[in-house]
Amino acid sequence: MPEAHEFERWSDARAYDGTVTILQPQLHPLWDGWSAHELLAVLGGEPRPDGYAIIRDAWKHETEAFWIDAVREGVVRDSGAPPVEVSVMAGLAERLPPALPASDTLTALFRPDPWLRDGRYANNGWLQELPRPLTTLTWDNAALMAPATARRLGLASGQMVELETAVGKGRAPVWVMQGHAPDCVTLPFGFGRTVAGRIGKGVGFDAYRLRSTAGLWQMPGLQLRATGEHYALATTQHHQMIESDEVVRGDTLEEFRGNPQFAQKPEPAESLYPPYEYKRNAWAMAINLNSCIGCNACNTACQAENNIAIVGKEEVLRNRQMHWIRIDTWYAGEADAPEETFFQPMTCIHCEHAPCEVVCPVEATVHDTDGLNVMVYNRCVGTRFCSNNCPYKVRRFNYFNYAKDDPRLSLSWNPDVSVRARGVMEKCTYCVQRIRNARIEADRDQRPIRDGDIRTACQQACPTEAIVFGDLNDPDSAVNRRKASPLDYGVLTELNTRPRTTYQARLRNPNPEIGEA
Amino acid sequence: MPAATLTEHVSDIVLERKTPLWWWVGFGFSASLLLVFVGALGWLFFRGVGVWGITWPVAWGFAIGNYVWWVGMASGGTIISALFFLTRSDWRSATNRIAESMTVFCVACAGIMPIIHLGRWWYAYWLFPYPNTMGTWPQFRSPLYWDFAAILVYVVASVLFWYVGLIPDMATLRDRDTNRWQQIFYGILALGWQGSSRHWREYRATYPILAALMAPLVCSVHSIVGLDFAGGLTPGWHETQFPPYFVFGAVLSGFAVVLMLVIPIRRAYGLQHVITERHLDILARLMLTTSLLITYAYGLEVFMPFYRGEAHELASVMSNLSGTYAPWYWAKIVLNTVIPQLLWFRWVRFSRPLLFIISAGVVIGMWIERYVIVVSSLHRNYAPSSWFVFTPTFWDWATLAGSMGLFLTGFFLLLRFIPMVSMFEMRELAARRKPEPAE
Repeated sequence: MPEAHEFERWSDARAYDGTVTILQPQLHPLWDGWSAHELLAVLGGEPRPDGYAIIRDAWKHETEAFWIDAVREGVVRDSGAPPVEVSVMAGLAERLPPALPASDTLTALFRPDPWLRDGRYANNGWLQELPRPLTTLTWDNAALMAPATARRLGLASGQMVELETAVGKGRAPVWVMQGHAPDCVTLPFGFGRTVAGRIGKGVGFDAYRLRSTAGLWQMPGLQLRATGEHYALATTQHHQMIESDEVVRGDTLEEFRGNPQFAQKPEPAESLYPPYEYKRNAWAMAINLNSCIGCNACNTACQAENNIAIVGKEEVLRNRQMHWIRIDTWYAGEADAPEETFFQPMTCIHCEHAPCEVVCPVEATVHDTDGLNVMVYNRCVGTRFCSNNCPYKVRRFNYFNYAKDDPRLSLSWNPDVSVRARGVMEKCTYCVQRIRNARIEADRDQRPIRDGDIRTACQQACPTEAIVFGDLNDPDSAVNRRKASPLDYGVLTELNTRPRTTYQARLRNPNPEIGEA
Repeated sequence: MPAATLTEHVSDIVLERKTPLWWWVGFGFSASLLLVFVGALGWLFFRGVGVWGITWPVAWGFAIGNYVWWVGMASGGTIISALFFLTRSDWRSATNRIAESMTVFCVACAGIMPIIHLGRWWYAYWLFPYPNTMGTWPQFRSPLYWDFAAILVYVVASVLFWYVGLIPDMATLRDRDTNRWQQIFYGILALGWQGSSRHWREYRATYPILAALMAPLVCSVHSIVGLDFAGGLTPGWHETQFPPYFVFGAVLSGFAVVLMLVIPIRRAYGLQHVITERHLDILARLMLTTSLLITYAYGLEVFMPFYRGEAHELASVMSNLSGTYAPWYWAKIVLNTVIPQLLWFRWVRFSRPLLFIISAGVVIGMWIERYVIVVSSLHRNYAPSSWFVFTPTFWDWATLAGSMGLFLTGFFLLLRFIPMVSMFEMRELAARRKPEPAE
């Protein structure tokens, strides 16, 4: 039954402070939609409900003048509830659970899964396969615990344990998570649904069984027992400790003040070949490590825009996920207590001297005049040397017919982007379809492409605007402004790849009074 | 052994009606492995290249390792046939037929591997430079293209060289045969060879030219195979020593597999007087020499990163010495470097069982070397977030075992239908050494 749009129905509402507002329709329902009030009235026995009559009737206890004012002004002034005097109840501190769990006990922490939330999105394949922040887990939830806790209990990642709280029992695999607080175990809920559709059914374990209103978000006294069984957990990043400052760079504000060029390394020697001149546009991207929060919205946006298939848990266990952009999570410091966490989105860097182009025997990956490294899907025979030769490892291969096996509605694919077949290599294209569209419109209007006309899917979705895409040949472009910063650096430039995507190094500003946090 | 008796002995093996039981057993075993190969390939073509263990970032696995292994073993045959022909080494004539036949089937197995490992193998012909409606040519800067060209040349040249060397013996069989169908069969293969002085004059012109073409092919083909890896920038692959490194390894595995074939064949066919202990001694010494060469290359592989001090190369070397693949790495060192040193001792060289075992160890060790090179350098690379350990699947092993089935089946067929010693060359040798008493 189609629901009438907000603009098509009578309704009423209260703002957060109680102020009344009457919703009025702007037009008759275009598709014969019903409002919720009308539907309830029918279920209550009224054969021909009238939306206006229902709302008018609800407010019949007020005067006619009130009603006319309400529909004319939209809100009824002073209908909000008056503020109430409150004070903290006596003896509250003793009634709260302890701030820190007693050592040698475990406290269960219940948290919604970052993507599936309370479980409502369990049937969404994209969200199941999207790596969770920090753990990079896919297709499963796990009992997350600190390395010290795991050592104390003699557990390692992937071992099944039996969990028991005051209200229920369950089984879950363990995941050792750097930086997790000791003596607590995080149990993400939203998994373990038995009826969720083809994708979501039976994925993960159900943490709701262990949870009750007595301890909605934390429950002390969690019992945990190893079973000796092993469970394979699919993650997308297996090495997270930073060993050198090659890929991620960051420092404190004080150090930066002393040495503003800390993020710069000596460039490799000039090439013997004369440089190619990019006369028209020179597309480039700048990613600010200070802004990236690791939310993975760019990942899903790219998946939606570029027809990237999901591959399923078995294939993620074989590290064959197809995401063109990945958020690498890096920990600086000790594995037990990392000092700092870095998030680094990594896409195809579109190197000017791309190592992948040299080694393709059929010339399926070439450079275009705007500086993009373009992939010709129908020429690729699948030797995979380009993937081996990419130092950033941003290329993805269709080991099976992932697109055909992806259970999507066929009309849901983006028609601007081709769907890749089995045996073909793919990678980030700087959303070349959006570049083409912008160029067509600019040519039609006989003007150059303006800065900001092209927003790549990842840039568009990023809530913190960490990603900026634009034209290097435009001196006023946002991307040039970012790259002018002394924090701007390229990854693995000593290989003479001349990357077009550069990063702005992370600056921390720790309060010296707090100490190294 | 007098020349006439040798000819009788060798040709009778082929012309005899009754096939020995051991041949049937061996052929049956090989044919079943070949069936495994067909099944593995069928499943691979149906499902996709993902049935193997290859993944991200280790996008090459068994198939490329197998390819290098097979093409390396093929080189042993080429060296014995072609190179030692050019050096006029007499001892070669006893073993060169076995060696060349081995080369033909090794190169067939090698040629199949790079094709089936392609994601879209049905377009493999795009690597061939032909004018087409798309206006595209292969990308000539790619080491894989050079590899394609090298293997194509090697396949064609090996088969030609083997066949040309076979023609006079086909004629002998045709002339000695009594069965009509066999006469026709060998007659066709003999291409009308009559053994006239004119034929022999042309033969003496053709064969050395082919040998002169084939001998440098050993170096060039395996150097190009080495460039397959050295042409990439992966630490652990990007070494200038890879072309000679691969040539050394190829020749070592080639001699080893020749020994592995020669020792049972001479026993099975009673050719102990043709392929003497001296021949085995020479092959063993050659194996020892190449083992020393590859030891030098292994030493350099470890020394240079420490000498240069570049972090990623060092990480790659340390990963080999003490990382996930360290057991494989040390197994290869033991099998290719340590155990062949036993060949310094005369009694080892003259002990057939020991020689066979050492050769088998080298063959396995060389496969391990290729596997470690392919997989270990890829699994730890410039992008630490991508590091992942490669694990082979059942289909990886099935394809490897199946390719051995292809080789063995072909070789068994040759054993049955082709004389395993080059009769005309042995006759020449005998005539040169000891002129026969007039009858």
